[in-house]
Amino acid sequence: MTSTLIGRSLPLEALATTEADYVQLGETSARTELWDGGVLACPRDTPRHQMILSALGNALRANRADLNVIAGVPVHLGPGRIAVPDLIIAGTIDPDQPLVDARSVRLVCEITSPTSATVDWSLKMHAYAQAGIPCYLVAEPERGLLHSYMLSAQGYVEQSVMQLVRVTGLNL
Amino acid sequence: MTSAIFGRGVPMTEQEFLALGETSERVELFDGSLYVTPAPTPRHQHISSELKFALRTAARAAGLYIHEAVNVRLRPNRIPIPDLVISYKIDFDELVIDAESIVVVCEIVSPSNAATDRVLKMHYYADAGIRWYLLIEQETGTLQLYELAGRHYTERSVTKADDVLHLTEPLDAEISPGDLLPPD
Repeated sequence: MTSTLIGRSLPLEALATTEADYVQLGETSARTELWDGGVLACPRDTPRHQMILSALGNALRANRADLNVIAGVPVHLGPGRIAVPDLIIAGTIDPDQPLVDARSVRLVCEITSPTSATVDWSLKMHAYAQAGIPCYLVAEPERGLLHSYMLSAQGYVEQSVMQLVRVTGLNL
Repeated sequence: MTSAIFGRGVPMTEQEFLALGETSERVELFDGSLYVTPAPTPRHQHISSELKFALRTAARAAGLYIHEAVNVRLRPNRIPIPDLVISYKIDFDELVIDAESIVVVCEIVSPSNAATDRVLKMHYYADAGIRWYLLIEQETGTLQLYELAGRHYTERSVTKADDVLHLTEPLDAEISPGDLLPPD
């Protein structure tokens, strides 16, 4: 491997990556997710993405002491499946555990980018619904929109489309 | 060998991706992200080679070629490695086949990784305009054939292990899914 590619080595010898392997990775140069035994290493976020993320986090906080707004933590969606959503709102969790269980997640939010948009709209939309997360927010900076979806028996159903600038106060 | 494949935190370009060369795992490029999956099981490889064998004569008669686990460029920086593809005549020394040369893409699905094949890749292949998508369940042998209709795939047929899939397009062949499976 060329040196530019090396962040941490994966404990893979062509075997499926387990949840334990995933947790052992610790900090990596890329954002890594575990999709059914395969590792997805995504680019880190741009400053634009981070500004939208923190503004959304503030907007969602809403003075609820019983809810935790957390950015960039691994969420256990099912066996061998761990995603790192941009933002979650969770009920009671153990803040020292490396993985948040999907059952305690009330809302999950992704901010799309050219590298993540298709995964956000297809794979994650499917997997978050399958994990039973009641609400999915998708922020689309390119079009300045914030979509909200609620879980139904058929998967997520769009509830509303908001102007991102009105929710975040950011005019990027 | 333990490989050390990892994104370094910025989107990976096609050039960097192709420079990875041979790896023990399968590494795919999804819009600048790397997707690293384990080497396939013997069951998976058995099905793949049996399917290739079942289609080979018909493919050649139709002027088509079958490739197992090659790089396919769906668009810039989006290069998955489908289990099997059927293409028109291509440059056999190029590292990557462009989606325009591909008529059929096929994935062998295991219960544990179904979401990437049935959701993400189905979306990718449709978006790239590949006309046929064939899914094979590696436990049961069930074949699901999809054809592109506009921008999405529509299911054309479902063939169980003891049944026969009759293909007339893009090649003339019969596939018995049960024959693709390894012995019990």
